[in-house]
Amino acid sequence: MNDAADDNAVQACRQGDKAAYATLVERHYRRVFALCLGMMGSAHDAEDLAQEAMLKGFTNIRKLSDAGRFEPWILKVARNLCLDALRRRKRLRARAAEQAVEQAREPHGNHDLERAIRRLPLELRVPLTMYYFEQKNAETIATILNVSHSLVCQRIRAARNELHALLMEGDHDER
Amino acid sequence: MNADCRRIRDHISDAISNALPEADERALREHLDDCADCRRYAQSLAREHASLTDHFARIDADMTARRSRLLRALDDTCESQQQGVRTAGRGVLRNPVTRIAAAILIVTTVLALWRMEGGTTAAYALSDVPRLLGQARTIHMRSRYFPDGQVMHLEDWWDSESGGAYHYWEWPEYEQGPDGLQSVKASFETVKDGRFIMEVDHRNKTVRFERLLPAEQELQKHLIAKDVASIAVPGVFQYLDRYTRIGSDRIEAEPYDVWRREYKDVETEVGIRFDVWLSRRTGEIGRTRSWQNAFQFGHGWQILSETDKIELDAEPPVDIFATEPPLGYTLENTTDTADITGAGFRTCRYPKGCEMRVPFSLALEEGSVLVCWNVTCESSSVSAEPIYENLMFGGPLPHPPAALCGLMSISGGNRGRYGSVAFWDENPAFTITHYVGRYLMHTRKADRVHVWALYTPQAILPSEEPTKETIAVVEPHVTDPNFTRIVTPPLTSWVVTRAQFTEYLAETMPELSEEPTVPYLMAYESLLQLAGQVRSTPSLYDDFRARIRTVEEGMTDNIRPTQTSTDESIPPEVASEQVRQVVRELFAAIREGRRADALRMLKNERRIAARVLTLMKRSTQFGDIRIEDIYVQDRAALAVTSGFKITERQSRCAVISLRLDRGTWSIQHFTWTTPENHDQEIDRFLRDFPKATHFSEERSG
Repeated sequence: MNDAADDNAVQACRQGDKAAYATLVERHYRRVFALCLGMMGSAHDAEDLAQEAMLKGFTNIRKLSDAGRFEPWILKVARNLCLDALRRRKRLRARAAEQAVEQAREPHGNHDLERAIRRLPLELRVPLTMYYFEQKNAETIATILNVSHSLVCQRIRAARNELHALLMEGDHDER
Repeated sequence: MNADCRRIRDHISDAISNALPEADERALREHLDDCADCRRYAQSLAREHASLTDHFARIDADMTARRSRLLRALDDTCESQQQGVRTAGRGVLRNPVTRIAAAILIVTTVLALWRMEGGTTAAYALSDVPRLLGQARTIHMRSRYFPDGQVMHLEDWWDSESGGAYHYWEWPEYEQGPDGLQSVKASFETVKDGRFIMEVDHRNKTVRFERLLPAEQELQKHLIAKDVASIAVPGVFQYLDRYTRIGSDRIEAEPYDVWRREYKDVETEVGIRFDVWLSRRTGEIGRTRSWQNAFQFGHGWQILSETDKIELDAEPPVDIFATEPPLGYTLENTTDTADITGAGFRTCRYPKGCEMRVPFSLALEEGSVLVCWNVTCESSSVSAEPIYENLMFGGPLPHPPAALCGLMSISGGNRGRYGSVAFWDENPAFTITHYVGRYLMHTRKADRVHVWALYTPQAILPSEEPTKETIAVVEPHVTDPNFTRIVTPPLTSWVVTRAQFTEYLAETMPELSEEPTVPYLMAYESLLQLAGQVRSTPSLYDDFRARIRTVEEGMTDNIRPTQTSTDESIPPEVASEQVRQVVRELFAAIREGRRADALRMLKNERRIAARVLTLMKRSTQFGDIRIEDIYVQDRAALAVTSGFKITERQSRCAVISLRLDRGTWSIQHFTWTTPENHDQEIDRFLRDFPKATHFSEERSG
């Protein structure tokens, strides 16, 4: 990550240079999207939230105190939006009804996989997405998440086991 | 599975990640050789690893498109910020790119807000179609028609920003060749770039141009979404409540609800059916089909047309809206000599050899319609009598070989532009309003004579819509006895205020007259005064009705109630009781173990019927399930039960939609939902049936 380049872009952006923000989008959107994907489990939700985060970043760029630290700041914005969305989702209790109906109607295919990913606990879904979507190795994931290397390996293993169980459940169980 | 297996399974996962130390790899191989369970597990995990890699790669493949969508949304954010502080950003508004971005942002924001509010299963219904089409920048549609056993291919593109449109159709024809009949492909293209219309006949290799005036260019943009909505979901503006969800289907793995409208003409015994595949998640129409059934011949339902693609906001092929004639084609005219035509009126080629156009029309706020029309005819059709002499402002209209002698509007009938007169309309309750036409003036430009006329309804009819839909009454005045019939093409006009009227007229006059200034008699006040005089002369309306009696009789004959609609107009109280009986019967069948009966009642939900039975039977509270709410509108109903436990920890309530067909209510859709969440299902129903009556009195099972 080039902090100096971010610094310049943020400064230009504060002067109203829209093109400068486009370079920030170019550089950081994928990372923001990946974070949202890991937290939400669905590409549609991730796109909405990543977009919302980037737009919010643009409108609030004057609030960023250290212009060289754009990435951690925008990731924090995205994370907060995702947490809000997850809380709202939980509050609405839409999940259970939706799953009951969907499971009844969609027995196979990629939808099963996506649904199973969405059902993984957050602490397993995030490293799994980083591993497969961002193609980061366990060591890098450990650094980003600020946890030990062995814990990341353990979580990826647990995520695979859990996913396997969920997919098998979908095949056999008539809930 | 023993402790060794558990340890080995962690190794399998690490091996897939290429993170297994060499020493452990050997142990893993040895274990897998001996343990069939772990071998199967390893195979499953390897498959799932491949699926995950593929799944995330697919998501990654759309990254560029996502980034572009974000940048467009960003464009719009900038624009609104600039507007907010009133900087010199007005130029940006004129930029089509930013306007497109605005449209996209609205759609994205609405979708995002919706997802935030309601979760990830969207609930688009047919009533959303006009709005979604109205928000789209481009629409792409690909269809096939099957007239008389032939296949006609059609492709359409529309661009609501520029008013661009592309229409292509082709069908096989046969002509006599040296070796007998040979098949040839006939095809036509109509290309609109917003200002010019280019008609290309590929068979005869000819090209002809027409031109739209500014007001009609705007009208064309406005009509795009409305027209496409009427094609995609026939009757979407007037018969939405007659569509019933008949099941679900998948197109390329995406689940779609299938909606159907069906009716039968009692006189001809011909049934018409429209099927629409609508994605609940995205609101996308995946397919439409129309069918016909000539019951008396017993051939069953035969397909009339199919649309297999309706894409919104797809990028059109480069230059598809360019009115550049193909090389080597004969030009019948050029853009400089193009006839002026209108967007609100399709060219009327009647009687034979004649062609009527309406280059311009405006509806006044009190209901009258100002129309400028012209007729060109082959010389043989034109009488030797002078046509445009001795005419006076407010007097009778001239009698060229085809004259726009009046207008009609139908309320309660087919208001779509794509039905000229409501021939197949199944709605018996319609009223016709007559508009008497009076001459205002005529103007000449090049070789055209344009007649300006005011058409006034007997009552003042303020319009709530931005456009006014009427039916033009075109009367022939030729000596040929084969052409005495009156024809009735549709006419759509902008509804304008006094200021807009003056502005539009001043802008248009130089295009249609050698004398560019607007005559004082054409002032808004003069027209209102004339309209008042016409309204106070009932004999004018009597004369008009007498002249078009045959047309109205024809309409009355053809617009018949369908058998189903007459049979099924029952009071909501009665309907709700019938619905209650059906649901009770279903529950009784489940409770008493009459599985075949229950499955028959759930025949439209075959895929989940067995599960419904199992879950409901398992519920310990089954006997206490109540029908708490019933909503009824016409032939559709929704029943909602009280909550009941399906497991120790999970409660559900059932939401059951029903449809009345030939006097019998049948279950169309059975949905589970949490008791806290059933409002969403009810809202979804009420969006489709906003006038539903609610019954909520039952407290016993």
